[in-house]
Amino acid sequence: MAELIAKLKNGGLQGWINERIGSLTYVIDYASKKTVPMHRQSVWYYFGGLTLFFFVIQIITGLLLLLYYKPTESEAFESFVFIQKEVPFGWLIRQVHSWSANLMVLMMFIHMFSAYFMKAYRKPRELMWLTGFVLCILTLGLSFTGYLLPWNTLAYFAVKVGIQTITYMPGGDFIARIVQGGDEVTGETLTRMFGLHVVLLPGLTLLVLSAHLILMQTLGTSVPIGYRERGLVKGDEPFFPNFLMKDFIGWMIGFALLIFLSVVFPWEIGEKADPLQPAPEGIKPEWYFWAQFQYLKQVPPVVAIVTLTIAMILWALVPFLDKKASREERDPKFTLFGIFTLGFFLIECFIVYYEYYVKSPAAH
Amino acid sequence: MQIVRGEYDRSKRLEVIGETDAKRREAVESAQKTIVEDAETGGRRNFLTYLVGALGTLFVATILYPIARYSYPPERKKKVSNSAIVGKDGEVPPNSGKIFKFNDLPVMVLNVNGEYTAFSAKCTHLGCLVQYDAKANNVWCACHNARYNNDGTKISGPQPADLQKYGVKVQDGNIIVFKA
Repeated sequence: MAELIAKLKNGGLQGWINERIGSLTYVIDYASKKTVPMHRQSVWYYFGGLTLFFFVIQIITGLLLLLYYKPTESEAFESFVFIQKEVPFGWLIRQVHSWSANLMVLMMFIHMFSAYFMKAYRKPRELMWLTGFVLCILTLGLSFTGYLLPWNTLAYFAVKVGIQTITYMPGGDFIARIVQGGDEVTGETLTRMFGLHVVLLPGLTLLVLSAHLILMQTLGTSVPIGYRERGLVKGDEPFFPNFLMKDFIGWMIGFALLIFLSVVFPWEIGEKADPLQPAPEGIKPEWYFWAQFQYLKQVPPVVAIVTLTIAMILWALVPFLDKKASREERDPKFTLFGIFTLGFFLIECFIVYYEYYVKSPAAH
Repeated sequence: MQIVRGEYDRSKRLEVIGETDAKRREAVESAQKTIVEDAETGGRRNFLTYLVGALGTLFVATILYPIARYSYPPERKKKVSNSAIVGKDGEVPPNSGKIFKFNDLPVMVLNVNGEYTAFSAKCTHLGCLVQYDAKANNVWCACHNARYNNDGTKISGPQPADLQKYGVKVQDGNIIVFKA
């Protein structure tokens, strides 16, 4: 022991670790030489980090909520109210968890669309795009499963409507039964959603996220097509500490926004879910599902499900379809597809916003 | 050789290793060196370092404080009563004991030939719940062989004290436990 301390005191910590984990320090050394290109579009590089930041907040606040939350039909709502009314700062933890979830989804969408329009998915980053796509699905899954846990009227009916849409798919009844743990949304559903929300989905997310981040370290940051050749890249700054410090500023702004929203615009507590109560007026899913929700109202459900499924598969496989981008050439077809997808989301969301908040705001 | 990221093509990758990149890193390293030297010799930079450290600590403390307060379990409202009906007369047959909940605490009610006694069921040694040993006609803790009399006073074993005594009576077929 004395020998060890003496060795460490002589600055041999790195040497000591090196002898034991060997090449891992070379990985750290390699990562410390990572650089980030500087150009007009560099601002988009912050949104992946922001998504990660809000995900970390979700883990911390989620673990804290687990100290008091009870995932059963009879106790869920009571424990949810207990957290917010009896536990010191419980209201804050719950509000931060809810708002951080929303901000995480928002940042993820910005990150995804900016990566798309900068064609960052092109060779050799196909796997980064694919892991990102899986992370997108997992994030939406986490949002959906977490939504039921307060077990209030809003959560109950939003999840009921959400699961209903699954039944339009081929074999949907079978899947809906698995998700619900029966034919209806009951306490069985709550238990399943809880398990998915706190164990399976976060576990998968961490796994896929690790792959996404390791790829990020090895492949580095993508530069838009032609930027280097045209001399638009003003240089490459070291990731550590320069870019990380800027990232940190972004996180602090995000954190300030998060606390502001949590304190000034708290989410409601609501009434305990009652399966025998009629659905409340103006029931609708969270904003990140508005586009699909509105689209389902506009076209027959089968059409909606088929077109959305095809669009999602195309979206996931874009790195393999956009062959020109892999040759560092721009293909306007794919930019148009991106604009069309983003436009679809924005227009459908606006229609929902207009119908629920502008035309008949009485329901709120 | 320095590895330049963001380029798939190896020849391109080597092309873009610019002198500017090397210069930039040199500038960063010398700036960091200056910071370290300044910190050692004192001065304005030193003051700024302390200021940032203090603000950082304050920031972390503001986050940790609510988390610590939240994690410590709040007192749940509970009714404390001086006496309560814990069960029916027939629930404790002669020469047996049963543990009931009284003010959220486990209380042993003994019935030895129709004579009732009550005391805390929590052994004063390490908190195991005790039981009535009909053969020996006394109270026994299975964890470390502590023995008590039928009124909860210590006989033998590692326990430091007697079991806390409660009053007990049977009224209209109900067993009533009250604070002694």
